[in-house]
Amino acid sequence: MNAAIRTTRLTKTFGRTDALASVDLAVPEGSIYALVGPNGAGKTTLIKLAMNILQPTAGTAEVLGKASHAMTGRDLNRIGYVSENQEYPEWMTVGAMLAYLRPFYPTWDRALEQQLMAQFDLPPERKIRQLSRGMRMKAAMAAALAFRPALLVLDEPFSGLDPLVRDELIMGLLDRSPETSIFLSSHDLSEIESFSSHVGYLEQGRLLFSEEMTELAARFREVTVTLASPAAQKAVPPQWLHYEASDSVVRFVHSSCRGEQTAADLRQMFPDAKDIEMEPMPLRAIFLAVARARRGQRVVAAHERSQA
Amino acid sequence: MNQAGHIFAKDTRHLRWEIAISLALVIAYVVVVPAEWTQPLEGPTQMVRIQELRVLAGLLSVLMGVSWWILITRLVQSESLVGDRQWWITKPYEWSELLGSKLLFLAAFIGLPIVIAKAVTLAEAGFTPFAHLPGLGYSLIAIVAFLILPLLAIAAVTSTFGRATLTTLGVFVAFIALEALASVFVTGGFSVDWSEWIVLALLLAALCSGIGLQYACRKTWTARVILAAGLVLVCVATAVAGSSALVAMTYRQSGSPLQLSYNPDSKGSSFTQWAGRRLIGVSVPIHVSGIAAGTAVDLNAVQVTAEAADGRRWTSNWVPIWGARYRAEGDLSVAAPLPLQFDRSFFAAEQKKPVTLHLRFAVTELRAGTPYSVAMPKQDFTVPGFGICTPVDAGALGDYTDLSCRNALRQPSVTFVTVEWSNDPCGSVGSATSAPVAGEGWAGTMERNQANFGVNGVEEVGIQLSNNQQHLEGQQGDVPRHLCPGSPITFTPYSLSGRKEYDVTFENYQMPDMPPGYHFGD
Repeated sequence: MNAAIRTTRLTKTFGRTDALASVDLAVPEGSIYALVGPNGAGKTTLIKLAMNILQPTAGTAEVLGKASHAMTGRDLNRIGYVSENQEYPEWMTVGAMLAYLRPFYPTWDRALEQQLMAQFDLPPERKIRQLSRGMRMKAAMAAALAFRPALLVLDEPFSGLDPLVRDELIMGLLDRSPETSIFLSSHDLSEIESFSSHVGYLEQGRLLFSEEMTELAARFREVTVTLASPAAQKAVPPQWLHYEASDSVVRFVHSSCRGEQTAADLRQMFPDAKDIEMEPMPLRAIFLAVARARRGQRVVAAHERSQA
Repeated sequence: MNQAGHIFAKDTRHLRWEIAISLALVIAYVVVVPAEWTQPLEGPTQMVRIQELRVLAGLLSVLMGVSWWILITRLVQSESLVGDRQWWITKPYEWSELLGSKLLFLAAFIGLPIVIAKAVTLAEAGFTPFAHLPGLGYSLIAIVAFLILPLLAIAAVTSTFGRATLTTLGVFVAFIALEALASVFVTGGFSVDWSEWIVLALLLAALCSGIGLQYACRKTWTARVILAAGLVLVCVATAVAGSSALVAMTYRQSGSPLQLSYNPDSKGSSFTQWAGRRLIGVSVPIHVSGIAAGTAVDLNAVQVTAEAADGRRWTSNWVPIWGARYRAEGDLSVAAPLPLQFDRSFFAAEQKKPVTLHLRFAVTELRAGTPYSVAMPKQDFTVPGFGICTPVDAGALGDYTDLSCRNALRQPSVTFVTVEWSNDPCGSVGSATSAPVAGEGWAGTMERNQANFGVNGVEEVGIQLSNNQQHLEGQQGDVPRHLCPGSPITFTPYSLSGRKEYDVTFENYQMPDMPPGYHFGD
């Protein structure tokens, strides 16, 4: 499958800080790819590298088939970009901003522009400096969608918005998909779960996983094993996260679940199990499990280092 | 779509008030400045009014500069090149179109108004603007190089108006400091005139590279380093321009009959002019003779090597000599003060002992052209190659007491002006009590610049005529002499004949005392 964005060993350091460490990522064409991770994980850095706003320390990023560092203005007329912390031309009205941008894009769709203005309830005569944060994001989104971009890149687009505005923006995005590949970053998992087709998890500059949402949801299961007798101490496989054993109940998060095959494996591992439950997990719970497991690993590694 | 035009139109709408203020200031300047040429130069009231107009014109010049600075900074920073959060950098801007739009804007709202203003002032002063198109072009290049591009560069590597302001002040202070350091330690304040072209070329190269790189790649720190290096290079070039090697290259050794000798009697002994922490300035009277007929000499600079009896030596930088231009008039010999610089410790050690001074003079030789004579008219008159002159009646006495001259775009080439003063009011013809008194003075410059810097296309030509005052018995102070209509005025143009170096040795020179209040322990 062609990738709208593909990074290869993409690395960015700021002084001694590794903002991104050798990230390999592919955003399939037509997908809605959500890059999630805690604040400071490197999401914005990755997006800025892809948009040629920053230059990588090592590795490459390709956007719509072109190396990001070689992108010129002409390449940007197929890419929409909206960021929560962008500096807009405050002195322009919404209408003037759209009118100004119109000639830059050969594919600008006036009818779609009007539709977006109505859909987002944007006041054309209002100056951008007078807009609320939500209205400002809607105006930016209208400007980024009206030329029917092949790729839409959104950096924390819903951050701090009220639910109504967020839903309006999501509706606007869904209307454009799959005509437009969408790559967005967020640290709010619940807001992207409902509409993303792909997800990647970035933490401390490293991509921990990147896959389709359905695969991810199928892979993670919250497992509860009820035993006939108290659980014996046993080696925990690395794909079991947050392993807890208390009396006759064992709980963990299975991060490589393969349906019936995994259930069979578990029955084999726990022959005296009275019951084995494998519950699907919401995205938020998956990420919390992964994040806590990573944090636990780091604590152990730090402890081992200090002992050494 | 023509992006440059589209961005230009946006900037024009956005900065319409700044543009309006800037243009209004230029228009006001163009209205104010010509008043001193278009109104009669008669009477104290009128002269005071003209002084007021000059002050107003000066104020308008400052305000114009400030308005351009604001306009350029706001223009460039409306698509700021510093940072990574700007809206425009993720839009399909082509950098060349963006830069083109900014240059188009600056040409339309700063460059073109300046050229038009210059043309209007030229026309108001009686000149034909179309006859001075090359000069107007040169003037525009100078304004671009020394005003527009530096401000554009600063705005391009700073993110906010405040930072641009601080950077502008910082660059200004750094430039002054570097130039002062170079002047004290390397050049002594003198530089060969063609070095200006090297400085201009270096400045343009640094500015264009820094601006081009910043627009093409937004590599702010690299651009800043290039611009800072350019500033340092300009200062280094200025310093090198006064170095002995370059002076020796420009002024060739000569065997001319020109004679320069120590002359302690005619204008008093030498004296200490000033004392700095490192150097002492000494004025030494000299005697100039042997100037060939039909020529003049301009003593541009001097370098002194002082040699003590015990063999200790001190060699100064090349120090400029101001106002030391002499012409042959029979076997005229003239005396002039010569500014020399000595190391303070050498001066202190050798103050009471005779030393030998080896002097190297950088001298420009001038050749007289065909004189232009005119009988003093009552109104404006044109002197070919010199400009337009207006008789001045500063006292509203009904008599002219001075000449006010102006030239298009630049000072005229060096010209010697002679007049005949009348001690008596011109109305008392027939009852004159004394013979006419000769007055003379130099005007113009040897500088090769094609045009001045600024909005005014007209250069006032200063002529300091000698003997313009007389002392009358029973009157307190001096009173002006009179330039009577019909009296002869002669303008003799001089052109460059050569640049020579003359070496002179003064034996047994005694250093003067320190000026009162100065001590070697200071």
